[in-house]
Amino acid sequence: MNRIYTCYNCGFVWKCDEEHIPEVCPTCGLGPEYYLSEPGEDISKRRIHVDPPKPIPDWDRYDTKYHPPRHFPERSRHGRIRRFVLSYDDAKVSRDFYKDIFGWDIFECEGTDPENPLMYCATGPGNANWEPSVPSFIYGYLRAKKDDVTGTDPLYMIEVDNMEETLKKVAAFGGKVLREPYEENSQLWAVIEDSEGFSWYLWQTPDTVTWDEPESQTI
Amino acid sequence: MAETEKTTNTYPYRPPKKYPQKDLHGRVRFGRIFYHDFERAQKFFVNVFGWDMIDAVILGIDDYAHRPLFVATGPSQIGYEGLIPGHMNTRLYHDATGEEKPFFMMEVHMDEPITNTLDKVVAYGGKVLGYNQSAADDGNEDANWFSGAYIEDPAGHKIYLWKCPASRTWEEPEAGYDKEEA
Repeated sequence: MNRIYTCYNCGFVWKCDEEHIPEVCPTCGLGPEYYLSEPGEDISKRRIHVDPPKPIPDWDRYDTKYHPPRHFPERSRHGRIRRFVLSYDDAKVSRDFYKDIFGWDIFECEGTDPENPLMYCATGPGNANWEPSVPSFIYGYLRAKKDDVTGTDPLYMIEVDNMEETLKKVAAFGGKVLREPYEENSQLWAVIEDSEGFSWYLWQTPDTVTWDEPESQTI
Repeated sequence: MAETEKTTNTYPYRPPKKYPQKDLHGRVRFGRIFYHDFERAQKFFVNVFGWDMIDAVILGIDDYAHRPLFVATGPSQIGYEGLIPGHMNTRLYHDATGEEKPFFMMEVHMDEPITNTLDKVVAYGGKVLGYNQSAADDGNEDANWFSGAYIEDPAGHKIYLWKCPASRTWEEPEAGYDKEEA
């Protein structure tokens, strides 16, 4: 029989069979003594309601005990993981794999090499500007392995406010620049290595962003 | 709308296809990245990118110095799921073998066995690296949040396929889909 559980420490709500209750709250990690439960299937009809906690302004940013996520500033997308970049050996094989098995909507970017195209992929619901319309998942690229001049095959692209300032911080905190800033399609990119030795694409927020887009919002 | 359309992508002169099914199959949902020295990595990600992180108690913490964490890379819900469309959060793990590389988690159909997807993975040139242990142990893919399988795509990229159990209420912000207009 399903029950709806509400954690009255962090406000997290979830539904599960009463025989498979997690040992701790999946979010804040506190034990069953912190759950309230009631029978039911429909979360919107639950009788128990706990207001979700708000960000704690003076939280020590190195303290990793459970706390509500911090407030991210307005008019900034700095630090967000915005795209994946999967390399391929054979364009058709990889395209068919993701299109046919996982239902991705894939197109070849304009002006790209027809033999080894750069392809942009929708992996779920999206808006007309090919950005996701639902939270907590991303779109991304398929690209030829040979197009990676760093030889490190970065998997993710992080958006940053200011490339120059970010690269200074990368160096200051133990990372390094693998590819100096470069322009493609009038946008600015770079490749870095983090302090742990893993590589990332950086993408500077384009000047064309209006801040009205759903993906540009904050809480 | 015109304001929105002038941003960000080189996109083809059409919107993406509709995803009208109550199904998150194929969405790239969570990253998995790795550290060798936690304090060093935390300083890097907090100061360079402004990330926020919490201990992932639900994943089990045997050795606190090498614990897994949930990371918010942008505006997030109380459970560290993303709250705003367009970005993805990640888990941060200790690289115990020294051989890990970042990869991501994709969801698969909730209403059919994972093996249906795995059969297609092999047919299309990928590999199945293994089932998640809890799914293999109890044979019940809906028993908890740990059912899944590790695969490789045809180019050799490791991916974790996760099957969400029936705990999803479809009220969660991340569970949206293209509903038919009235």
